[in-house]
Amino acid sequence: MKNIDNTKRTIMKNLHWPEHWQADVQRASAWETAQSMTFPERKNEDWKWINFEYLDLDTLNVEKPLITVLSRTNHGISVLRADSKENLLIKPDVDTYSALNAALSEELCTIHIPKNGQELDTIHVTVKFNARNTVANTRAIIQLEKHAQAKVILELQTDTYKDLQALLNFQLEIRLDEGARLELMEVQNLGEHVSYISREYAHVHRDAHLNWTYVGLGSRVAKSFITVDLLGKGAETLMNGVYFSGSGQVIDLDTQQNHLAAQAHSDLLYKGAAIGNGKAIWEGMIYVDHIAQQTDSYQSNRNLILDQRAEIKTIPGLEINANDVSCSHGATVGRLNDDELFYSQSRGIPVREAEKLILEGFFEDVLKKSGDEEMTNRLIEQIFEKYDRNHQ
Amino acid sequence: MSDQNKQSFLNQFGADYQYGFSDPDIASFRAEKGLTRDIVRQISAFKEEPEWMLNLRLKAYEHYIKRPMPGWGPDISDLDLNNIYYYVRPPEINQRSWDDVPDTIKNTFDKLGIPEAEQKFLAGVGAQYDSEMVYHSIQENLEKQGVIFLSIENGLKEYPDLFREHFGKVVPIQDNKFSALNTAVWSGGSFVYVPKGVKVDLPLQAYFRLNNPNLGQFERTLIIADEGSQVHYVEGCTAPTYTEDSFHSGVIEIIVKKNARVRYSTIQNWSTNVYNLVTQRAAVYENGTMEWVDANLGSKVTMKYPSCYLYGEGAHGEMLSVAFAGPEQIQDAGSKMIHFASNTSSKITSKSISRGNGRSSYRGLVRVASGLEKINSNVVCDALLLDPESASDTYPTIDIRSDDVNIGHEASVSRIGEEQLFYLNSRGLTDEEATTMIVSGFIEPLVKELPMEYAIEMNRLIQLQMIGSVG
Repeated sequence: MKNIDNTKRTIMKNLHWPEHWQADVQRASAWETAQSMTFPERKNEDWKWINFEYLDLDTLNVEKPLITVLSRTNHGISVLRADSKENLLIKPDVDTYSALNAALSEELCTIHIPKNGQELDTIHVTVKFNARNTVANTRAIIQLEKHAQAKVILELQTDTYKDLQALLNFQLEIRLDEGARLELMEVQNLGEHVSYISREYAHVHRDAHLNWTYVGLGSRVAKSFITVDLLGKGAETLMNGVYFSGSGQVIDLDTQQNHLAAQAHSDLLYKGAAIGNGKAIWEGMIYVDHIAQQTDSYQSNRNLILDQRAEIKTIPGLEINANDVSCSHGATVGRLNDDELFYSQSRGIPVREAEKLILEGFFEDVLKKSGDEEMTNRLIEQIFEKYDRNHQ
Repeated sequence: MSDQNKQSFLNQFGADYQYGFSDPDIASFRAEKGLTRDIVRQISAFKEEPEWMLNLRLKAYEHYIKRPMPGWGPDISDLDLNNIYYYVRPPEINQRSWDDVPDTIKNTFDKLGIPEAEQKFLAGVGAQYDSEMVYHSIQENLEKQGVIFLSIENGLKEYPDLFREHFGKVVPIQDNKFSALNTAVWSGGSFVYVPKGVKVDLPLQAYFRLNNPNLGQFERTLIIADEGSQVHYVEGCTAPTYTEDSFHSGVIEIIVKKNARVRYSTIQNWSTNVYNLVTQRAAVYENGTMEWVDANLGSKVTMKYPSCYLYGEGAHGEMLSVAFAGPEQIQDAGSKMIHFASNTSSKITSKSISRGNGRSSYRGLVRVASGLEKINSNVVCDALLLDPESASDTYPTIDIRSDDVNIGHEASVSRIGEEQLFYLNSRGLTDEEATTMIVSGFIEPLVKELPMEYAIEMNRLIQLQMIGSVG
């Protein structure tokens, strides 16, 4: 990030930045940082498959997204002005987007469950924005103190405007203290003209448990960095992912399971499909520090390729620095099984219906891990609808 | 470094490197350190090359200068490319007769067991000492059938058309920085041509030896297996142990034509001061089969990803590799299988062992171009970590642009099971013996694919690597 690309800088300068923020020292410094960095390019390993170069930032205005909390009990949940920068896990200087987020995000949603607190109700948060030639920056923070428990559903939505462009720059930070348990389902269902970048980071401390389901269906180009740091003995994470890329879409996910303490457990299962000329990319890493003995860590990525024009990339990874560990990963790419389709047809089920049934079985397997049946059914409906839309 | 120091230095490695001896310097010519256009010209002039080759070398040199160091993989920033001799010519080269090889060199290869091996097991032998091949021979009956097995220089001289048709086609200059470097300064290596339908039963062997410190060895091998032919080529590598680093950067190009079958086996056992950055690639046509068998035991840093470009329908590519990273070693090895045609299949089996602070990595790529049918590929990586300091990485990339595919990848990392050790202990084996036995079993699938004398050698090398590994 040493060389400053002048063309990009000009564009950044033209991005409309609200006057009243110019007095805010932290924002101004983040803005300064954003300007000193170039936008990530394909040369950068993390961005080798996609980038947002097509975005004409010049024409985008800053928009404040609408955050709605749908939950009966609202204690511990608040929508705040994003002025306080304390305890941020994601620093502004990671890249242009993190800097932009620090400079521009106006409101954030925080869910804070105090020690031993139990939220029995599912906390359902939606973030919606207009997405008509706008850029929106926002952040969600989930903190569970010792032995607290919660279930959270987080949805990102917009309508689709075919000829417009928009950018959503989202950050999610999760902190689970000792023994805390969080079930989180995150659904990205943005309009298919929206470019989406998210940086998501969880700290899981001793004996804490994170069940994190990521669903990526929408957007034009989506790039998510999803990282879990396991920081204490007995820390555990299940990372479940479902992503489905249709015509004109690229969904690119980076996951990282960092074992930074002994005797932690992580298990990742991401399933992807691509249809039309959609592209689905997943790159995962299990990192085991040298002190993280007795690590138990798995990583599995399964893909269905549903069209001759579609593209799948899968890049599992292991970096293991301790020996008393049990780590493995697996990845597959295949198409719908001919035998299964033939069998279904012989029972009078038309090909399209049979394909949908197989697709349902494929994804449901992961979605069920979230433990939320209602959401699972709703998402399967959305996947069917998307399948129909993309099927020639 | 005094002899005593050297010895204690070696002992830290747990095992004596058996091939660590060096000969007195008998070079007849030595280019200056570092690389310039003039040195490239000098090398070409020494070899009395046609102009097209000189031009190709110069073009490659320009590309090498422009191209940045790779931005990925192990840290090779200690490799000082300006502190390297790019060409060191041993004296008197008459490759036909073993008796004419200078005594010092002959003794070296005698110690390494080369002429003996030739008599017993091999169809042909080549030996390279520093920058040049010093010996090359082939069984008479094969020569009569039209099999060509020459040093690459003589290949260029004696078969200029065949050579020009294929040289630099599988690995072009622009491929990577080190293939460009190799094309600029290549010296030594083999030229192999197997005519249509000829099956070479015994393996052809080449042996590479680096004697001088700070030397770069840039051998270039071109193997052409014509339609329906079959050949097995084996290479072995060693170098003396110096405190200063040496550099080996070979390029191997293989053309496997319709229905042909080529196997290329490597036992890489460079001393632990050698940077080994190699490009090996095969172009495989209709129903052809390419098999890489690759053992990386030595070197300081190895970066090596033998690949198969499957151009013809029915082509099959296979990779079987073992890497052993002992203390201070980085083995960054893997394979690339690129499917350009329908009905092609590939298989990668990679096994690695790390010990001390050694690090072994699998880095691989399976790519399927668009519009293809019936593609199968399977990758399996197993890593064994022998102690808490050792490390292992797996970086496979799978890039699929067709829908009629069946692609699988799996990898696992583990240590030696306590029950296994306990059982072997109970049968009277020490921890070290037991560990060695388990490691031997772990690499068995590769060892059994090697010619007999290499298999024995391989087992012995593993035992050497394992000395001092426990407690």
